[in-house]
Amino acid sequence: MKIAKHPARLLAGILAALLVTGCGIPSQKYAADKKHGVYFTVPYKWHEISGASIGKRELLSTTTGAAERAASVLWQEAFSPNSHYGPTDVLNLKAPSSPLVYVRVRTLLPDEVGVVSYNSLRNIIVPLTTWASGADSTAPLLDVLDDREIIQKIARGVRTIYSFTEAGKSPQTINQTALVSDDRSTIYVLIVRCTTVCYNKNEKLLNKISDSFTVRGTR
Amino acid sequence: MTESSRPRDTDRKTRIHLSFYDRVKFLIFFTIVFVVLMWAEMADNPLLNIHDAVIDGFHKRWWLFALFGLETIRQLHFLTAEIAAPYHGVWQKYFAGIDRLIHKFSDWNRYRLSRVAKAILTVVLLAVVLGAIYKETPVRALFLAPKALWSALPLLAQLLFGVFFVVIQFVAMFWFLSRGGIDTYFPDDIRTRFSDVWGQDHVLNRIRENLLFLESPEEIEKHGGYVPGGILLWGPPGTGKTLMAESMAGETGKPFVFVDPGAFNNMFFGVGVLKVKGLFRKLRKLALRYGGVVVFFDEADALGNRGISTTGGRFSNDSSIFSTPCHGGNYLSEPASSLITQARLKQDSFVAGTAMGGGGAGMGTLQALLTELSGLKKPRGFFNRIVRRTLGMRPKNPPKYRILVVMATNMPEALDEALLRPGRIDRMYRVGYPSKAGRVRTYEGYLAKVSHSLSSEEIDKLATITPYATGATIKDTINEALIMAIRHGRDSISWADIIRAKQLKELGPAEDVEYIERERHAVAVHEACHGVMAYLVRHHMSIDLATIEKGSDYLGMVASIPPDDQFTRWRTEYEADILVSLASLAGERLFFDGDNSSGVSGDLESATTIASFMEGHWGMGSTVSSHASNRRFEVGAPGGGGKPKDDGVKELRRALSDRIEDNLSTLLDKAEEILVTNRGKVLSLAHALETHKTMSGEDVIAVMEGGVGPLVNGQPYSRAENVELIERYHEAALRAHKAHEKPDISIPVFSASS
Repeated sequence: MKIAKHPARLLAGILAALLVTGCGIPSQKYAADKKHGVYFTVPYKWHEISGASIGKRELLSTTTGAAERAASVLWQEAFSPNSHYGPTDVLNLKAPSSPLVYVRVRTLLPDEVGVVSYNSLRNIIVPLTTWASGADSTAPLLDVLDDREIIQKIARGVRTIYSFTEAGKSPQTINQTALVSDDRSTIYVLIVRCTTVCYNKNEKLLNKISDSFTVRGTR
Repeated sequence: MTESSRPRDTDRKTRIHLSFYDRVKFLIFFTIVFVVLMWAEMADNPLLNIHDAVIDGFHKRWWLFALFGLETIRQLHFLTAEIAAPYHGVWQKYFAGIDRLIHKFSDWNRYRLSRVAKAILTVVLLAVVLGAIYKETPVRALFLAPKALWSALPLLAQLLFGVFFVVIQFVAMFWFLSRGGIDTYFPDDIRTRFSDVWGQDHVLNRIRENLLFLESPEEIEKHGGYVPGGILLWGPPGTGKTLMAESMAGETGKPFVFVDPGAFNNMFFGVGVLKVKGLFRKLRKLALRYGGVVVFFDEADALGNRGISTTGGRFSNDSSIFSTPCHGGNYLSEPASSLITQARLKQDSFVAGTAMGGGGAGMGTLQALLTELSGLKKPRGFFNRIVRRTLGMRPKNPPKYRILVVMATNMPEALDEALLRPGRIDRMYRVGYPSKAGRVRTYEGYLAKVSHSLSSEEIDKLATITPYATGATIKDTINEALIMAIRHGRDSISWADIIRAKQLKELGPAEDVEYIERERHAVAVHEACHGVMAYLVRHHMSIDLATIEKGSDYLGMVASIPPDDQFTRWRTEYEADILVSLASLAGERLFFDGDNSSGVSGDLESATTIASFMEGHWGMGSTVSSHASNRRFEVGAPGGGGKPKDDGVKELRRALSDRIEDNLSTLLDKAEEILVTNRGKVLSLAHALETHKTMSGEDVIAVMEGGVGPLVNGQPYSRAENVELIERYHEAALRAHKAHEKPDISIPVFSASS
C-alpha cells in the first residue's frame, strides 16, 4: 500500500527488477522453428551444429534417395555440450561420448505418405522392430527401455528409448521421438543420444530435453 | 503586500520544474513497449519463461534501452538545469548561439530546409517501420511496400470505398466551397500607379508611408515602434477607394491579394472560417517568401458585424422633402440637406436605425478574421513546437509576417467595432470627394481620352460647378457627353454636351410633359421666386440651374452649389437658406392673391428643420441652451411653462416651437418684402423659364442683370415695356387660374432686338 502511494518507488522497483534480471543469462537455449511451430530447449551452454552444415554433409551421402530426402527437410539442427562435434557426428550412428540432440522436420515424400505407421516411425534410425522381433540373427544386442505414444496438438507418434550394442563398439542409448502430422504431410523427429554410460549419467537432463519437444504446427 | 507576476521564461535563472509525470512519461512508455514486446515473444514460443524472455529482450532490443538511457540522460540534464543556475545558464547561451546560427538563414530558407528535413524524416521512419514489418533492410522494405500495397489493394479498396464514399462527399464539398474569391497578383501584374489616382493626395501620401514601412520595416522597428498593419479606406461610393488599392498593388513590389466581397459568404457553417484560415496561411507564406504582402478586402462591410447596435443605417436621400413637387431639398447645401435627412432618420429610427447589425458573412467568419488579424502570436510548425521542445529548447516565436491589411467600405458604421481597433486597423482614412484640383485633374484625365473642345477655363468651371463629383461620376458624365455628341453626329465633346450630360445625370431625363399654360406659369413663378431670392440673398451659394421641366419626382427646381469648399456655416447663411425656401410660399401668395399650392410643403419642411436647428442647436436663436443636450438629459426645452415675469423674460421663455414659428413668420414677411420689391425680376425669370424650360445659373444671372447667358439673352428683360407685357400676361394667367380657364393672352415672345 505504501509503495502504491509513491509511483516513483513503484516505477523504480520495476525498473530495478528488469535491469537485474536483464543482466543475467538465460536458463536455457530455445531452439525453435517458429514457421513450422516446432520447439524444444537445451542447456544454455550447449553448442549448436547448424542445419545448413548438416544439410551439406547429407548431400555427400550415396545412400539411395538421400538427396531427395535432404531436399524435403524443413528444419534441422543439432546441439551438443561438446564443441568438437560436427555434422558427421550427427549423421553417423557411432555412439557419441557426449550427449547429442538432433531435430529434423521434413515433409513426407509421396511414397512414404501411404506407408507411414507407428512402426515405421520406430524404425526411423535403426530397424528397431526387426531387431526387437529377434528375426534378424545379425541384430545387435537390444534393450528397449521405453516405448509410448505421444499425442501433440497437430501431430502424434511414438517415443522410444532403447539401448543397443554393436559388435566391437560402445553401448549406445537413443531417446527418439518421431511424430507425424495429423494430415500426414510432415514428420517431426527429435533424437537424443549418447553412450549408455553417458546417458545414464545425464538421464534426467536428456529426458527433460526430450520432454520439451513441442509441435504446434504451422500458424 | 506586493504581488509579482510569474517570471518570464527568459527571466528565470533555472529551468522550470517538470511534473513527475512529465519526467517519467517516456521511461514509462519505453517500459510498456518492452513489456509488450516481451509478451509477444512469450506468445510466440510456448517454452519461453518470463525470466528468459526478459533476458532475451535485453539482448535483442538493445535500441530500446539505448533510448531509455538517452531519455534518462535528458531528464538528468533537465533536473540539473532545474537545480543549478550556472548549468542552466550555460545551456541557454549554447541554445542562443544555435538560434543565431540558424537565423543566418532567411526565414524562407529555414522554412524550406525544415520542409526537406520533415520529408526525409518521414521517409526514414517509414523505411524503418516497413523494414521491421518485412524483416528486410529499411531501404529494400521501402521498395517492397508499394508492391505489398498493390497486392492488398483489392481488399483495401473494398474497405476504403465505403469510408471514402461517405467522407469524400463532405471533403470535396468543403474543399470546393472553401476555394475562390481570393485572387493573388504579383508585382507587375497590375499597371495602375499612384499617379493614376487624382484628387486624393492627402490619403495617398499616408498610404505611401504604409508601403514604405512594408518595404523597410526596420526603419521603424529599430526605434522601438511597429509597422502599422491595417488601413481602412472609407468614404462615399465612387471616390476611388478600389482604384487606390489597385494602385497600391501596382506601386508595391510585394504580392497583392484581392479578397472579393462575397468570398466569405458561406452556405455551411465553418466554410467561412476555413476560408479565412486558408487565406491567412497563404498570406503568411507569401509574406515569408516575398518579405511582405498586401491584402485588400473590398466592400469590407460584407464581413458584417456581430450584432452590436450601430449608429444608424445608410443615409439615403429618401426624405419626403426631396420627393415633393418642388424638389425642396435640392437647393440646400450638402451639409444642410444631410442634417435634414439625419433628423428624419432619427424620427424613423425604429426602421432605419437599430435594424442594422448582424448580416454579412456571419457564422464565425468575422471572429476567425479578428483572431487571424491579431490573435495569439503562437509558435507554429511540428519541428518548432515538438522537436525543439523535446530537445529542451524554447520554441521560436513566429517570424514577423509583414501583412498589410487594407479594407475599403462606404459603410464604416456597418463594420464591427473590434475590427477597427488599433492593432487590426491602425489607420482609418476618409476618402472623401476629390478636391477641386483633383476634380480638374480627373476631368482633364478623362477628357484627354476623348476628343473635346473644352478650354482649360471651362474645365476649371466644370470642376467648380460639380463640387461632389467623384472619379466615377466624372467618368460617367464625360461618357454621357460623348454619347450625346455622337448622337448629334459629332465626334468631339462641346461645353453644351457636358452641361446637358451633367443635367441628365443629376436630374434624370425630363419627362416631356406639357403643362397647361396656367399651371406652367404657376410652376415658373414658384421656381422664379426661389431663383430670385437665391440670387438676391444667398451669396454663399451660386445657382447651378433652374428648370420647370418635370422630372420623375419634381415639377421644377432651382439647384445651387457652393462656389468654394466651405466648412463652416453662419447664421446669415442659414437665414438666407430659409428665405430661399420660404420664397415659394411668399411668392405664390403674393402673385396669386393669397392663394398657394401644396407644392410648398417640401420648402416649408426644410425651412422649419433649419429654423429648428438654428433655434435649438446652433445658438442662432434667442436662447443659448442646446436642445440636443436638453433632450438627452431630459430637462426640457427652455420656455413653455413657469410664471411669466416681465416682458423680456417672457420672450425668452416661450416654447421652442413658438419661437421657431415666430422666426419663420418674420422671415416669411421679409421674403415677401423682397419679392414685392423685385416683382418685375420674378416675373421676368418666370417668363424666361416658361420660354426656355431649363436655364443654367449664368442664364439666371443674365435675366437678373439684363446680360447675355449661354442659352438665354437677358437683355429684353431690362426694358420696362417688356416687363409690362410680362405683367399683363401674368394678370391673364391669374384670371385663368381663378376661373380654371385658358389665359386669354398668350405668353409674349421677345426677340434679341426687342
